[in-house]
Order: sequence, then structure tokens, then C-alpha cells
Amino acid sequence: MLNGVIRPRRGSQILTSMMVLLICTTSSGESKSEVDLPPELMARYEVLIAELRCPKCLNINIADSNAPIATDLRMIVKNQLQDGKTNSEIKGFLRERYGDFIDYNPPLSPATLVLWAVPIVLLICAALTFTYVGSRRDKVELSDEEKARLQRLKAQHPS
Amino acid sequence: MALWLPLVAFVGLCIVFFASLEFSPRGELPSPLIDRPVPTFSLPDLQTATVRTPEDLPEEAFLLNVWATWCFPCRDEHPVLMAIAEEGIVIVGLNYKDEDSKAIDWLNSIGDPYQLNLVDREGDFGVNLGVYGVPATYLIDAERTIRYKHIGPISSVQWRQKLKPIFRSLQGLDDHA
Repeated sequence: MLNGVIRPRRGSQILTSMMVLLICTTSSGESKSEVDLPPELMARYEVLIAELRCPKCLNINIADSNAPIATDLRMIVKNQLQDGKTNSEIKGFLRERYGDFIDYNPPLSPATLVLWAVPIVLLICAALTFTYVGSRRDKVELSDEEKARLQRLKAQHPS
Repeated sequence: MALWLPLVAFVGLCIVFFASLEFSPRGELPSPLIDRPVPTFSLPDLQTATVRTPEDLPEEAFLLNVWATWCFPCRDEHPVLMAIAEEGIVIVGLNYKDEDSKAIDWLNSIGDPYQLNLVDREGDFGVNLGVYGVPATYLIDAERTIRYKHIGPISSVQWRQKLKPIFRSLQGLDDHA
């Protein structure tokens, strides 16, 4: 009976660990094996390479890209971390060379203003539309004839 | 009117998406280095191994062409560069992440359009220039300010119609002069 309880749990544990292994090997196996950093730098390294976009490949971060330039940029991130640079210094270094494109978390600037403003503008438009539709619905006035008909209908169909 | 709004929004979005499919330049990033001076460097000369610095760059407008023997499109671009050099325009090469012997063989066998060739074996200077693919060509004026970046191989049509007029303006010359 005890076996019956334990066995499925063990099975699911194996399955879970297999899935975790699968995720690790596909997403960042390569980038992990190529660098050797102390744990606290490694954690920042993982965050930075996930937030930096590969300039060659349009929509993939440098952690997951195997383009030569992504490998080079990972090395730059690693070397600058070892040199004691802050995350924003490292991002600034790359932004100066590759533009805001390189950063998946772009700063607010005239070029990115639209990006940040569109959701807010859409939200305001939606709110205005709802209040407009709502106010029109409230304004419906029945004529005397209609009121009389409404009363008749109510009387015929008591709820 | 309110009922039409979702339809209008949908059609609007469709237009925006189709337009961006059509007009967004694929794989071309605007370079933040435009109108900035050529980053400083000290790199060996491919032919002589002498160390070169920005002081050794031409004192007139020139092209800086990033190339490599392993770069397939560079071979397509090579005859165009030869023709540009024929016009008397100075081209400086940046041999990027390549092997010197292969690069010298390439120039000896198919021709050398470069007045000067710098060697960037590790690609460090390439990063300072914002290079992410080869070939790439920078149009640089006499003050050594980067004025334009072309990504990918230059075709003869692109040279004639787009790059040459820009280059002539950097030289202070009219295209028809």
C-alpha cells in the first residue's frame, strides 16, 4: 500500500527532472559551458545575456543565438563582469555600438515613446468609447405612447 | 458608430502590419555611430604587420570595408570594390576574424582594391564599429567621421544609385562633377 503511494510520485519526479534537463540543454547549455564565473557573476551573466538581443538575428537573445556575433557579445559581457562593470555600464557599452535595438528593455526616448504611449492611448480610447456608449444608453427617453406600451407588455408578461 | 469601431481598428491594424512587412528593412539596424568619429584603434597592417592607428587613415573621404575570406557574399562584392577603386576612391579594408595568410592569398589571386588593410582577428574593433555581419561598409569623411553604414555586399546598382551620391557629397563634390 505504501508502494502504491510512493511509486507514482517517484515517476512524476523522474519525469519532472527529465523535463528540466531537456529545458536546460536546449536553452542555454552552450552558453553555460563556455563561461566559468563565480555564482553571483554567473547569475548576472544569465540575466544580461537573456535581456540582450542578438543584432544579427532580429528576434532572439544572445543567450539562445549561436550566431558568431552573439558568441562574441557573450564574451564581452563575461569579460566586463569580471572587470567589475555594472549591468547598466555593460548595457550602455553595447547600446553605444549597436543602438537601443540590442536591449530588450529599451529606455524611454523619442524613438521608443510610441512604444510606451500606444497601450496608454488605446486604454484611454477604450475608456472613452465605453463611457460614450454607456451615456448614450442612459439617455434613451421613451415617448408617452412607448411608456404606455411598456406598461402593457409588463402587465402581459409578469416576470 | 461605436459598432464600426472594432472593424475600423482591425482594418487599421492590418494596414500597419502589412506596411511593416513591406517596408521594414530586414536585418538592418540603424547604427548609433553615424556622425561620430571612427573609434580609436591600434591594429596591425595586413601586408606589413606594422601597427596602425586612426592617424594612418586617409586624409580624404574613404570607404571602410569589413571583409573576410570566409564570408561568401564578400566574393560577390569584390568586383564592385575593384571597380570603385578604379574610380580613384580610397578603400580601407578591415579583415575581420580571418587568417592573414588566407587574406593575402585572396588579394593576390583576385585583386586588391584596398589602399590599406587592417587586421581585426578577434573582432574587438568590429564590436566598437557595431559590426554584426560581414560584409559591411562605412562611408567616412575627411575628418574621419562615420557618415553612413551599408550592411551586406554592395551591388554595382546600389553603389551607383545610393552610395556614390552620398560619397560624392562627403567629398564636397556634386555627383555630376
